[in-house]
Amino acid sequence: MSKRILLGNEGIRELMAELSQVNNKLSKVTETIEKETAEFGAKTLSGLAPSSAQYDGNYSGDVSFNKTPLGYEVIYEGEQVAYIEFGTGLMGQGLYPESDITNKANWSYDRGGHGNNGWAYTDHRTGEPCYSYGMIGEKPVYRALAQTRQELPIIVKRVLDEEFN
Amino acid sequence: MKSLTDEIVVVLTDTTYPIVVKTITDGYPKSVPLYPAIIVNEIDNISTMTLLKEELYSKLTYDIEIYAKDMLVDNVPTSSKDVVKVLAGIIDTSLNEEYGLTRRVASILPYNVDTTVTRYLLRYDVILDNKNEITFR
Repeated sequence: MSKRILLGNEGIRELMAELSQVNNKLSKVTETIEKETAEFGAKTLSGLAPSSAQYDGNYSGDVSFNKTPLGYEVIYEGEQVAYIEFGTGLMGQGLYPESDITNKANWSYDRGGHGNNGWAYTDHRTGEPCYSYGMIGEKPVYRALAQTRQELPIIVKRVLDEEFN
Repeated sequence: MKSLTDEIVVVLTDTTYPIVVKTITDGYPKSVPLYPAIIVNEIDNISTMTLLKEELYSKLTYDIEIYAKDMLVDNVPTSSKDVVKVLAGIIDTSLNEEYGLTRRVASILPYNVDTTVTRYLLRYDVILDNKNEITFR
């Protein structure tokens, strides 16, 4: 973008008016970028969050986004979303089942049939058997954040092009 | 593809804590974990720059989970929340000094197995220069 201005009072006034317009446009652009980024984040998170059918009918949570004084926030809420995001954690001393877990290494999440006995799974990195009381962290929020970070420059470029070209 | 998981476990094992930490492992352990426990998980390892098929930079993300029960510290009854927070502070200092990791999350997580156990999460990001083995933010 270029602008030819004649030197002198008239030219400077014209330039100031032009800059004022750009300033107004930039405020609008910032708002649009924030909103579109939040929309993208919420849509991505909705796609990554498990459907309720995958988790024994447990409530898989709702995704929404809101305008706040500081910008936009994407919200993932529900009774079990913290477990979906971070997993249910390991079982330590005093909680561990007495049976030999290596004999049960082929267990998989048995969709509610394990009761209070926990479940075993094979660590996807080491191939070793592990024991847990519940689900592994699916990290939909973390993954949505990573994808949104990658998308942000594309959103910014598109909005700036639309406004200034 | 390089990872810092093993190094982080070594750093945390070599760190001095005011409380005896009984379990420090990479991922959930095979054997029965004893409390207090520190679990290191690499949750992301993304290549951010590759040149001539050589990975130059990668972004690594680590979850450090801390588990503790109510316990006696120097004969003083100490709540599990206080234990995890003390350990979290020491871990944070240690990892910052060693690698300059950026802390993204520091929060108590829900744990419905046993109410006397507190579960705390620290999540860190770091950029790794694979060639020179230097970490930076």
